[in-house]
Amino acid sequence: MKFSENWLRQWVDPQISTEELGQQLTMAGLELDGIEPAAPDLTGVVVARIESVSPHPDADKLQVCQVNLGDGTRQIVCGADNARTGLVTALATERAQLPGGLKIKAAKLRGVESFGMLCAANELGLDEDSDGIIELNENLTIGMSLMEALDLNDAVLDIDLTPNRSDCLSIEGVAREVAALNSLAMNVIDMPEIKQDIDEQFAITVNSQQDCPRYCGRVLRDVDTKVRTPIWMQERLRRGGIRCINIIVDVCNYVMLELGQPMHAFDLGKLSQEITVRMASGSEKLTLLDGKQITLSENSLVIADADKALALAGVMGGEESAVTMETQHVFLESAFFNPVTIAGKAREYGLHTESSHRFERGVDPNLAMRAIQRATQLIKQYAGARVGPVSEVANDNNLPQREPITLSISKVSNLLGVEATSLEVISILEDLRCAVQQVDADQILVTPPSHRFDMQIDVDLVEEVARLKGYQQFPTQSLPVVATNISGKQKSDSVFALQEGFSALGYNEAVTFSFTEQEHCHLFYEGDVKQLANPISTALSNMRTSLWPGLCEAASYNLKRQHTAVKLFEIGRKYLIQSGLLQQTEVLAGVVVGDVAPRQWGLATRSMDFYDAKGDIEQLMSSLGVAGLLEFRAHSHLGLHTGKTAQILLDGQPLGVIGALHPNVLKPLGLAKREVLVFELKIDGNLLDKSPSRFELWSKYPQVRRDLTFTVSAETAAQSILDAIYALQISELQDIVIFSVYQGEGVLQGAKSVSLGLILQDFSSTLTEQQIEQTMTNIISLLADKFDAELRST
Amino acid sequence: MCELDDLLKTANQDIVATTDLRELEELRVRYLGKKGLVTEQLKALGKLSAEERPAAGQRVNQIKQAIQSALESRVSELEEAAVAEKLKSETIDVTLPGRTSSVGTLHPVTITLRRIEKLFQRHGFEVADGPEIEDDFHNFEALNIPPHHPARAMHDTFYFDDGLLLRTHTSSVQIRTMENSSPPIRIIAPGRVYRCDSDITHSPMFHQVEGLLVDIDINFAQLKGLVVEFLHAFFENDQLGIRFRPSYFPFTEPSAEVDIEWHDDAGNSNWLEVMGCGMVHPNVFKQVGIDVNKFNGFAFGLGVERLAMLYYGVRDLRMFYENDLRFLRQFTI
Repeated sequence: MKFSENWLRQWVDPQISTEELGQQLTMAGLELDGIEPAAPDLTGVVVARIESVSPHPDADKLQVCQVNLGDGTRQIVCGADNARTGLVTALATERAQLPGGLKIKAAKLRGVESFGMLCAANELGLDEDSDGIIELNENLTIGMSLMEALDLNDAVLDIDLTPNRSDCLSIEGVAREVAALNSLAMNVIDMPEIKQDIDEQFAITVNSQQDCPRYCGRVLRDVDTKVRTPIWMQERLRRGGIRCINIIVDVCNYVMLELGQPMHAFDLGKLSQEITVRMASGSEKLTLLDGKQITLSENSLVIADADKALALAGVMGGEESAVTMETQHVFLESAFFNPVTIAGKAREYGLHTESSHRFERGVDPNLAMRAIQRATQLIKQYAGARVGPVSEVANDNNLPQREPITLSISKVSNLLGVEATSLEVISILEDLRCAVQQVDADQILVTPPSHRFDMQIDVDLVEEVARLKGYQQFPTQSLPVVATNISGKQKSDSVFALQEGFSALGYNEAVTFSFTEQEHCHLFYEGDVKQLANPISTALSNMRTSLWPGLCEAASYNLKRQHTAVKLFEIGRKYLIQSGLLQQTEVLAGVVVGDVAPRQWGLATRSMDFYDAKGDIEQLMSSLGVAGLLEFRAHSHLGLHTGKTAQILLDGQPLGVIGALHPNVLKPLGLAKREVLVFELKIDGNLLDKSPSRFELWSKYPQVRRDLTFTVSAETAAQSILDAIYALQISELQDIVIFSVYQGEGVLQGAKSVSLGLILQDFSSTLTEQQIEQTMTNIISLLADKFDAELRST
Repeated sequence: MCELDDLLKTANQDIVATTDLRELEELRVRYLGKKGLVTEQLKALGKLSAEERPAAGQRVNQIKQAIQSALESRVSELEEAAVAEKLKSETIDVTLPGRTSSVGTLHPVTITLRRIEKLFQRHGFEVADGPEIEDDFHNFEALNIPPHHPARAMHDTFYFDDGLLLRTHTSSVQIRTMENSSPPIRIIAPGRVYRCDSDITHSPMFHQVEGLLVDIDINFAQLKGLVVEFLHAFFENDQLGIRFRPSYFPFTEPSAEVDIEWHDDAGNSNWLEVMGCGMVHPNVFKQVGIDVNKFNGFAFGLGVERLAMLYYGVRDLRMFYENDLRFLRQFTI
């Protein structure tokens, strides 16, 4: 909320600077957003009266004015239509500088001398736009500096109020708070009583008393809506961030700023028979003040007359019944609407108004009568009116009750960790206008004031005590020591090991959005997708079904920025709907594309392929100490290359997928035609529950290596050859290295040559030549039997 | 005798003049070979008288040994020179860069999360987890934010058609943890959260860490102590200015926002909000069936990117999700 500091200081004036006041509000929970001067420096601009006006001899649109500025008159050429004899306005004298940087000096305008400039409000930085020069109160002292005349030596404070503090959405509310913070009494602001002039009442029916527990209204006849709103009121509204409309609307807004009661004025001439407060009926339409037509939902509270809805209660009035310059008679409304009824209504219609902001947070239910009196007084004073009596329809049972709250002083101390005395607690709560009754040595009974919707239970009062004492006053204490998780094992530690493992392999960790465009969701996944009802854009409208699109886009982003290689990984959730059930599965995914090593002297480079990515996963598993058998099986997967995709298994259980992107998905992912590898690993117990490493002794007898080269059919999977050899369960076979795979010249079409290095070693003795020969013979005959292998060399 | 002296002199000159081992071998044959000049002299000794022979023989042998040793030393010299020559030919430019492969890095959010987790683990906080697609109850209702509560408007929630939503804070994990375990509880819940908002200082997705402690006799001063200790440790500055300011969260009462004192490049001091916290609201305990007469506790929440931006000096929040390698490669633990 924005407000004028000088206005606040009329209500309560602590002897502290503007900055200190701001700081004090911040530390009381009314966070200061900013302090701005109420106006730019207007030195040299004075109050002046136009004494005479004559036409400019050479310009139709200009007039030559003789302007009195107290110590004499100056001739000023002016182009404003409203420049007229007797008008009190603002004159920028020679050498004054206006906000736009315009320096005033004597000049000839179409041959006529001019010694200054008559100013419009926007030229003075007092309004965004204006028609004509500013019109000031005739009673102002001619020659007085404008800064002084308009009380412009003022600051605008902007405070950011939390939703619980609707009681501070007014000058009076902030003043109450400042008074409590400084233990000061508030000044009495003179609001004279208004005498009733006429007996006329306009009928009010409240159908929905729970939603509108209090409705006050009154008739104002013969109002002059053409009168200009006094400058001081315009200025206070402007400093409060509210635009001026006409005297009636301005007074309503002024009272809202002053006391916190949103009000509404209807053009009485447009109302039919009576005011009815009721729920909207099916598909009723209403054109609002902002010109927007809405179709009312049935749970919307409206103010209606005998014929139709006139206003969306507590949110915005209707265009048709609005007060305009033609309005002669006014019906003034001041009501209390139930916060629950108003809450969410503005948003439902895409609106947010000063009124709805206050009503949905809670307006003091006892304020309506005081506010209507204040508004009437101001209207009568400035626009004249014959005033009717206030009609009030109220139902006390429906008004919010402030039940007394029992507060234990020891609870205050225990919860805050600091000693609070009952004297201190009572004094603070009384400063906040609570009624306090001592029950016994420890307990007090506290009844909150009607404007404090946030004081409901005892801890709400504890907060008030803490707030007024000042949070900074509290000591810091240490926590009681607890036995921590003995094993110290946390899932996050294992996940972190994975992250570190990939980083050690040269991967950069990425974080991509969890939502993406619909097309991306179906590149690698065929099922249903979770779709946002209110996405920020279509590019971020569906929950991702794979981490690959985001990672591929990140890879594309970097490739387009001259990086020759990208290896990224991410840990995050994907969102699938499986058998109608939503699955939010955490996975680790990666993308690999480009050169195997940075381009450099002395190292030939090549593009990374499937085996680079596969090798990374194998190395990672090994460095993590994942026990268990890791396998890669040829596999097919939507969006991946049909011949370059494998399922990854750990101990026979699916762990993930690795493969090259299908050429068809490259373009939608913004990638050029090249080999891009992706992989995904499930993050679950399999991967993370690793058992501690166990030491194993090695054999002290020499190792023997025998190489075998043979041809088999080109489709024979390397893994199947290894599996078959291992199935022989040769105890001295320690390892098999595949050191060459060759297809081409010298090997029959459809066949491939495979070279194996067999590592043999025994635990109890040195292997004899005979044992080795026997083993090799067994293996060779197995290969011949099972794979039709033709031996090329041993 | 003069002849012998000349022979030695010539031999020495010849040996020194050699440039390789082959020439040297030729010299050895010329002087010391079967028909060599020194061998001839030895043969010639036979022609001498018995009296002359011993002295002359000694003299020839001396010459032979002298030539022998000159040859040997020349061999060493030539071998050393050859090695030196070879090494010289193998000289490399040691200023050329070494062979490299790309360096991997962790995301600054991960590093920051890890630092936060470690600091709270000191006090026995365990890491808890919850779903990102949440229901209204866990994200709002159970946190004392009923439908139409004005606080909901501040959350800019992403909804799904079935009424589910993307969690707007990791506070929802508080509720899930309290539903599934009983006090004493000490958890932190890191994770992704979502708000329907996007500009230079807002991202529709970011990370939060929520903390919750439930036990007997827990007070606000302890919360303050923990937060101060954490912020001092996180920013590695025990002198860091910290202030607690009253604020409002529906699920805590009293509530506070925590500001740290920060100096901009020009040296001006500002207060920057980094955390929210407060004592758990009794209505929250009631929702999860924890006895409010026996237990109390506190909760806190912090924005991970915000802390990372301050710690690393990153100005633009969006960089965290662009995954530009020039950004990602800057952060080490």
